[in-house]
Amino acid sequence: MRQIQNMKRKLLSHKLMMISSSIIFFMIVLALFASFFAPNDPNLVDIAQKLHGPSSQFPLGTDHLGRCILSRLIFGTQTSLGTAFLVMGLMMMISISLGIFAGYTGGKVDYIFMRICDILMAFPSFLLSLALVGILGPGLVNLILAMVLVQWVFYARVIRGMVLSVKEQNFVLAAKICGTPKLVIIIKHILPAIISQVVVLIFMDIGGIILAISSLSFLGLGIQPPEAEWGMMINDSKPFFRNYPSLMLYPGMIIFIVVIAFNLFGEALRDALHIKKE
Amino acid sequence: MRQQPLLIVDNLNVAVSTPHGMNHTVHNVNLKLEAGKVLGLVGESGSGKTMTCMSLLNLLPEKAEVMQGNIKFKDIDLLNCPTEDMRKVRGSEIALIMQNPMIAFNPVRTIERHFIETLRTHLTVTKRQARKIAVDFLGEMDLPNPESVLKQYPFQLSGGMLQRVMIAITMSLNPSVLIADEPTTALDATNQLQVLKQLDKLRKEYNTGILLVSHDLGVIAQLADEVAVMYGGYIVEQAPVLELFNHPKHPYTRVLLESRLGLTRRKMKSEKQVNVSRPNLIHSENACPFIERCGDADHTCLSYNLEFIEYKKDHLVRCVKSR
Amino acid sequence: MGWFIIKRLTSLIPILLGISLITFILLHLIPGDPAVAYLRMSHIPPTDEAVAALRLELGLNKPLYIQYFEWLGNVMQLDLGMSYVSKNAVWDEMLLHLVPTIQLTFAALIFIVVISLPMGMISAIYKGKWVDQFSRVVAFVSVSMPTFWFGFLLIYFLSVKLDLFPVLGRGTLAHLVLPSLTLAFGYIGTNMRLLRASMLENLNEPFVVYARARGVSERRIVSRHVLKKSLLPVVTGLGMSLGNMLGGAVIVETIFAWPGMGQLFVSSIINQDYPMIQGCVLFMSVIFVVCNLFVDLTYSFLDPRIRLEGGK
Repeated sequence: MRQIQNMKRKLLSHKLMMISSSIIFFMIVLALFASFFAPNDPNLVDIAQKLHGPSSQFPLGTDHLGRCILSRLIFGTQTSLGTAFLVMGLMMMISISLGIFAGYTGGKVDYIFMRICDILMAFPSFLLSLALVGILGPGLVNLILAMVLVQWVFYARVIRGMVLSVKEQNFVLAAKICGTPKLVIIIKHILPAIISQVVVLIFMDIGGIILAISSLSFLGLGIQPPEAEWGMMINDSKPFFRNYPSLMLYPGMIIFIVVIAFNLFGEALRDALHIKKE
Repeated sequence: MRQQPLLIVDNLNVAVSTPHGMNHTVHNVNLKLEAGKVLGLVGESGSGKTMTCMSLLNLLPEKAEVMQGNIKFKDIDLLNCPTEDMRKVRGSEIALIMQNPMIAFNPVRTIERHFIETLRTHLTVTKRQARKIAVDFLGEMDLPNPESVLKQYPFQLSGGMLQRVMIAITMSLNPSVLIADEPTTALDATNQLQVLKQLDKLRKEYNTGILLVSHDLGVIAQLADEVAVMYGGYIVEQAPVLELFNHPKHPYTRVLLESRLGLTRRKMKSEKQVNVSRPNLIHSENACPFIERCGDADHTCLSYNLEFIEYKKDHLVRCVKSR
Repeated sequence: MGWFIIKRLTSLIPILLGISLITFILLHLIPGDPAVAYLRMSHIPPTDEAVAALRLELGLNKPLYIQYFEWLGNVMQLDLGMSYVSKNAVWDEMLLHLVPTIQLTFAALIFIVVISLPMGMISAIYKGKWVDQFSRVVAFVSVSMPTFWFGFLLIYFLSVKLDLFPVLGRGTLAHLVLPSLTLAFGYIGTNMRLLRASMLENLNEPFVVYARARGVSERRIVSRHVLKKSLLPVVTGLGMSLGNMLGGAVIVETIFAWPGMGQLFVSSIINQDYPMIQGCVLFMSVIFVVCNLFVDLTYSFLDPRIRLEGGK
């Protein structure tokens, strides 16, 4: 009985992994070839065509400025996913190097690092990002900066923890005794030992990053018009959604689907890597 | 004159489901426990002792199940009795003393809550009455200042004290049968002695039948009337305690005794021959479970149908060589 | 216990100082001259003389560290400056907006507790059954849902279509339902799964076996033994949710036109009202820290192992 259940679970998580990874893949393709898939120019304003329902020319209708909703959604993939990947990438660069540096060096460096973490983590992170964007001024670059400057600390701390647990293991100690240079130990021994955990961490969290970015755009602090972005599209729909709910329905739905795909993928990946370890 | 046994285990088989299939951990176990007697169950970890105990209480872990056999307590068929009846038997009729007292109590509840909860599960008493009973029995266990012990949380007491609390809880309900699963393993020497004394008192004053599980022959020698030796899920030898200690028949029993009692140089040698690998429980069908570690094993042990051989009255051995 | 509280309180001092330092620096990240920004906000042409006069008035000519200590001294006396926009004291405006936010977050906390705890418990007891599967789906939806979208969905379906709740603003208890549910929704999943995992772990503990062996009923084992111990980590989880909800409140208050701290914060950002931004960050961070402290203390009070042994 149990075995059947186990099998079922494995297959199910396999199936979820297939579904979630194909959604992610599809979205990335959509982002890369947006101009190929989009039926219209996403930024072309045509007031005469505003707030139309679905038609052959505009498959999902038009918004309050007569722009094609479908095209804006497709081009929004570029900005939304691109920003999220960029934020994640920058954060990882900072937190992997700082986390390894603090964790591997230990002692005073580690102490100071941890106190900085304590202070940065004492802020509600979303509010601090918000304040930074507010001070630096709205815009995509400032949004990315604000996210990275505030959130790196969480990842750096987790990575430091991973390094600490790897650092004391025999293969690292052996390399140390053999007189291997520090940098070589870090690149050849420590990094490979933590990389799979870091990858899982990235995929478990990228959904949250997408949500945070779209929230900031929703508040009007991210990318500036006329570029399309999902969160901003919902913001734009605010005055009209009672009569034209589809303006708000489609972008929200797509954020939701993308985030849930990443979350499912992250969890499936974690389970898969966990099974391998055992 | 022999009295009617309290507890009869007849041909018990237990299997655990693993990713590789069903793993049989207990084979054809027969036990009889009489009132006021102590039956010792000896064997290394993984030999099926705990599984046997847990099936007596119908508390096998999720993955394990009884495949075959009968367990009769007085007139109750324990394996086929309704859950609610079984629950009433547990604690009041058949009690359990756990291996590691430090983790057997809930760390966020006081001793008092544990004690009173158990009493009020089985007896219709008020909280105040239950508290009085608890104080009395803790006092009987030579626990200093029972009132304050009741107020403590489990992590505030030592292992020895907790073990005595556990015995006090057991005694307060006056069960007919007590299963003591390695009651002294987690304790230091002085506490061991104390706990053994309390168990002896329980048997003498309350006429409780005790199933004493241990891997420590010293403990068994002190308390048991009869001993069953388990290996690889089988009872390989069963005899009155003196008979077993003086005339061990099964090679495994001999190894156990030798490792315990003074080792001479010659015996050291024979000890060396004992392979230390764990028995692979899955592949054995008709072969003797001890075959891999036995110094005397030959081809006859491979196709041995594992019947008990009555070496002497009350002395049973499961070895083809003991004929 | 006493020592634990004192230890925990002293550890707050460096953190609060760090928060104040970062908040102070924040204002110096403004591109350009703050004095110019102030004048522009006040619709005064930023002539050289006006800028110089203002710099003197605001103390911007002094070295940075002196500015910090002067500012910190003022903060201690609850003087957080004056809003560029409304010309009111920042502290007074914040107090005015604090009560609605507290209402909102506590109502949301009630939603979280009422929904996630029973669901977490049931899914642990019926592990692998359809209830458990369902709760897993709910958990995934909950953490993946964009708050602002969920808010709009609730407004559209429950207010506009079915007319069950008022759409915007604050007033009756009915006004509170949708905003607090929106705010709560994202935290339901994590807390539910937390309780489930913690209960499953405890159900396998030896103390459960021993309780069964004493004949204690299954219902009692779950409610008195397992649940009590499993709720401890959930207290921390709920506390963290409470702190994080300050961030979520920003979105929810914007959607529902709820006149709380979040709305004040967003409007100050849009208006580039720098003292107000600074004040809000500082104030909400202090609330966040105090929240976490409160959670820690509650936890240590509930867990006898920490209460009696001083958190060894």
